Amino acid sequence: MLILSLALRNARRNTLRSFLTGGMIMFGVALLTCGMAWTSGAFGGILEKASNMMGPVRIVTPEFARKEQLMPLEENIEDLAPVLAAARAAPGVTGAWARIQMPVTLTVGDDIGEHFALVQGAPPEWYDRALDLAGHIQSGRMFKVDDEASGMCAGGHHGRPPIEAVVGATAAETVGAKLGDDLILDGQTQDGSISAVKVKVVGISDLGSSAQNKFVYVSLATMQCMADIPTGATEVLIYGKTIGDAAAIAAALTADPALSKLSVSSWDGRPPFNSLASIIGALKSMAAGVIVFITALGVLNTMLMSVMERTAEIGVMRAMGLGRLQTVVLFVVEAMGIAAVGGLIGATLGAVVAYYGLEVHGVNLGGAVNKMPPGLAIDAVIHGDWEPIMFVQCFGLGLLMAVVGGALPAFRASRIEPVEAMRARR
Amino acid sequence: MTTSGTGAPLCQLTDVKKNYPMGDMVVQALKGVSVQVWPGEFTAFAGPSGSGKSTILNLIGCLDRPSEGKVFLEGRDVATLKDAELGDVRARRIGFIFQSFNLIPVLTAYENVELALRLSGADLRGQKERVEEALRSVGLSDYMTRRPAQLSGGQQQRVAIARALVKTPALIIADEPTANLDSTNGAAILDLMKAMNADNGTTFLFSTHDPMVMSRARRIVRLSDGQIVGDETPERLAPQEAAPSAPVGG
Repeated sequence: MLILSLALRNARRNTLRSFLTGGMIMFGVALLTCGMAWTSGAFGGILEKASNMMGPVRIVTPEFARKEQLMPLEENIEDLAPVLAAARAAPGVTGAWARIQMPVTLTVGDDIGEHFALVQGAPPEWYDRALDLAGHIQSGRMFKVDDEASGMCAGGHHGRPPIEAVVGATAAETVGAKLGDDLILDGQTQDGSISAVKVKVVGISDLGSSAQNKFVYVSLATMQCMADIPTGATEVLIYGKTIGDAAAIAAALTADPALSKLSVSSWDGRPPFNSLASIIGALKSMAAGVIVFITALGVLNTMLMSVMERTAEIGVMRAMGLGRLQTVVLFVVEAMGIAAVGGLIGATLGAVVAYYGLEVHGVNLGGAVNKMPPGLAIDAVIHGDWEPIMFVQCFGLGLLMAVVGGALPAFRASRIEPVEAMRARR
Repeated sequence: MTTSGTGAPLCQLTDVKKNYPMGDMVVQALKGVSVQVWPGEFTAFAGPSGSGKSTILNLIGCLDRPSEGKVFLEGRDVATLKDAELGDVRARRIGFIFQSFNLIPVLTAYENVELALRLSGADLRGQKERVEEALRSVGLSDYMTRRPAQLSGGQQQRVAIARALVKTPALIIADEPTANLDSTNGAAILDLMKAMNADNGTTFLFSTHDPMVMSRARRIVRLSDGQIVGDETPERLAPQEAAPSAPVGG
């Protein structure tokens, strides 16, 4: 105990130096806290949103899985009913819906379409669960589904109500579509024939990300008709309570004989998530490592100066029987004492900034998000996600900085021979 | 070389040489020294600067190892001991008093003495009493809570003596203990050390070139240029009081 007490008192010997070192640790820990909160919020939000959009668990044909970048309509699940039934019967599943996506050109009025967009067709329940589309309608309303009109791709003709669509804000702006306009979607069927559908714009949505605002949203029946896949779809998307359930659900569905000819995958096993999650983890670790390393260099500098200044004193204590390990403890605890104060203030400061600055207010990325690829749905305003555990983690990393930075000087001190120290003194 | 005395010597140096590399050269600090020290001695190693007196004390104090020759402490060959064993011997059997006091500035007088006792691995029971007794014996009962910066030079050296004494070592080594003190304080410190020697039988070895210090020693081993050139028991001491002496060595 006396050694520990001595170590902590030594931390107060050169108050200016200790203050500067503590300040460096405080800054490092605060930066770590904000960095962790921001990356957790940004990447966590992106991953959750993207995996919701692309399906935490997905069933497609193996051929579709191989060529999915091309959105191959011909590689579809012809008969949805048994697949949906099997998916909904799996443990932990809270919902399963079919979806078809295809690229189209958009035309408003007489303007021949030169604007490309992606059109997505799925049941309204999927839009609620995956996108909360109704909650993000900027103007107008959510589309209504008339299965008969949609199923014949003939809305608006022969006295039938028009086929309705919600258009993403970016797509609407690009093509100049307003509420009430007729929009012609020029796509193709699964055998490659040209297929066009006229829809009425009943809502313009802003889902917060540039990628999602480039979509046109219609019902599954409309897309089935347009793609000429009357009872099928290209994808079945399956949801549990959280994306954390995905792996277990995927495992259960893979084992289901009824789905043996199809490809079942959880979100983190599919591109781009399979590499993204590990890249994000590596980036976070790297950033934390750099901060710890740089701060540790500061601690190293301080502690080396302390060791040099106290060479004779260390020699005297070594002469009195202070062991090498005790010498290491003496200096590492001194560094940890400084780090504890700096880390505590830094973690508190970081928590305040991370919570009020990043989580509540968020960081506006502005136009930078428009350059992101489709599928990585990034909000223009990124909110951090500070959790109390981060206080403990960052404080712990602050102590780690002290151990890393204090280890070498402490080891050097432990190698001081008493006689050398005393000779240097003379 | 011959020695006399009863029982075994506390320490014995046999043809000890100590070399220090200095750049491309090798400096011979000791050139074959032989000497024995017996329990209860109050002996001064005297000589000018660079004569090798501190080197001898470092070797006897297990702070250093000889380049050649043998150093025995309480019958054990110091050269055969591992670093940890040397540290253990220093902690338990040897007390040190330094010219510059070398107290730990952030610890109080009490804690400085307590630290030495803790490092010696002494039983925790009764520690408080032992520390207080050590400080009382050097006349610092009223200064226990003061830090070194709040004490005079003489008081600091008294704390250093208490620190050396508290673990009741077999041997106390004092490297020019009065060099940083004025003559009055220096004499007082020496008288205190001598009283400890007389009362407790603790062996004191100290280096000095101060005639006043030498005048209080019971035995004076004179060194010059790394060799012992004289080993005297002052005439003023009665023969039975004088420590057993060795003839000139090395």
